[in-house]
Amino acid sequence: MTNSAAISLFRSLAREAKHLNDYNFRSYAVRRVKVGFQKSRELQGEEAAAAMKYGQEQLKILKRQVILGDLYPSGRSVMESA
Amino acid sequence: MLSILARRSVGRVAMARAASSSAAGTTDAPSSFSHDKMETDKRYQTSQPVPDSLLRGDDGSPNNFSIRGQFRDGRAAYLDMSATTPLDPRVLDAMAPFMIGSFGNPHSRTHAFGWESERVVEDAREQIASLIGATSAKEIVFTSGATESNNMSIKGAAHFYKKRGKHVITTQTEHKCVLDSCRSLEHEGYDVTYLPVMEATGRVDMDQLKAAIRDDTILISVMAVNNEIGTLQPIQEIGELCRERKIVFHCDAAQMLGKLPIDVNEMKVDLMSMSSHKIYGPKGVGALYVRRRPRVRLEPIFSGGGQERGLRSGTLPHSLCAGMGAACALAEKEMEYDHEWVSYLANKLQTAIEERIPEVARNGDPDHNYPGCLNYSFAYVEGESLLMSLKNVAVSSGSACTSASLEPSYVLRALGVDDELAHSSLRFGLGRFTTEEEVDFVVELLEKHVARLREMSPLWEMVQEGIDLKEIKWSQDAH
Repeated sequence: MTNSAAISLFRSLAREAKHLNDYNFRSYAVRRVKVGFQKSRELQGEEAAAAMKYGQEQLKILKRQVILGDLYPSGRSVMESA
Repeated sequence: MLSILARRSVGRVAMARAASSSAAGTTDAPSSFSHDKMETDKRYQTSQPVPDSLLRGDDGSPNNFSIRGQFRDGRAAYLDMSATTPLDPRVLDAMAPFMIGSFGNPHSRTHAFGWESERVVEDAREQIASLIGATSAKEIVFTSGATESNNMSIKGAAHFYKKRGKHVITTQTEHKCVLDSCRSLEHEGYDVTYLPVMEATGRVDMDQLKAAIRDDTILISVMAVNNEIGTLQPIQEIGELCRERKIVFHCDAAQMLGKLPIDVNEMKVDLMSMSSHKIYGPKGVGALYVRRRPRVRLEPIFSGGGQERGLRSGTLPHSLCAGMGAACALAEKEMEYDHEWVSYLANKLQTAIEERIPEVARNGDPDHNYPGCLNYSFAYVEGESLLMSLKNVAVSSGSACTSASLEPSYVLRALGVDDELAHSSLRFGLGRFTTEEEVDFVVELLEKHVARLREMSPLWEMVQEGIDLKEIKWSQDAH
């Protein structure tokens, strides 16, 4: 079920996730957003609405945590200085 | 003008360097170290003259064992999830308001500050109860961590039921706090049986357990997933046995919570210790599940205002409780995907280690385990040296996990692992935030450094020539 609201939510989440400061959190968030949308692709009706609402809450949380991560940066990981 | 700019930029560079070196996970040698001191220290004088090229380590010869300058900059890749886990950003988000504006004491009954803090504590209780399948949230008691929960349950249950008997059974691979609590019970006059585990796997033998039960046994304590080798114990079987014989069953589920499904009613667990910082929650808080039907009673170890049903007095850290609740709710939702990811990484790591590095031994049970905790012994390699060469990876060795002594780990010893193999063991902890690149990185490093350390070892040379090391009569041993 293609839904422009879902696609737009996915794009916002994916974009925010890339801004996370910490290497491990960023890698997890990018992966988790992708998998989350893949697994809920077939949802319909009430379940789909609940999933959208959940996604919107998570977007707010993600935005706050991106800011916090920039205020208190973790420092570069060895994996980033390959 | 230019000189002022130059000075400012130098200052900024110096600050940046200082800041980057003080960032978490990177440290240089302590300031008391100096190459000059080492040159003149008699303890480090060699007995034979060493060729200069070998000392400098820069002649490019094939037997160049130096690893100077080979490390990358930055914080190490974290592969020690069994020791602790990072705080999930979503959990931090749930905790933040309660560390800023909503700071009230949850036990204050007379104003909104107290009411809102109490609300979040009760919500957290529900979230934890839901994760473990507890019948009611009232069965959850917040503590300062799994260590306190273990102490509370073992000492509390033993003291309450002392009229029924004085025998306690536990295993040899339990966490130090359980073993130490049992030792303190022994000092008080209780009899404690420390059951050995099956050597190949680290699991409890049910027949041995049944044989160890006496008429006056009041408590059995077995951990669900071992923190060093990841072995999963037969908790449901033990629970059924205890229910049959009317023995209180305590289970330390700190490493199993949120990673494998738990149902305290199916497993017939009476007391269960839980830790927050193993499931991406904050450190400093944990919980204890205390069954109400059939009722399990404990003698509290804290005296005070009678909070937490009288079992654990003290003001609750409502922000930490909120964190633990959020971590549990998250774990419930993410358990399936986390398990999928951790199993995928563990499989990758296991296959790579076993295929690319010869003479390795897995410590633990390959069938009944939590995949995220892998413990490998690398034969003919010294554990400390391997750890030092894995400077860019944060792992823990299988020994000295709980103390600073050089004794090999008691868990590995209970598995019957040789002292030398126990010293050369590493424990890898994989989790939600571990990346595939980190696993590939650690495998590459392991392959390189295990080979390098073995090249240095005369024992390895002998093994390659086919000599059986056990048959050698060392001249220093013969007296």
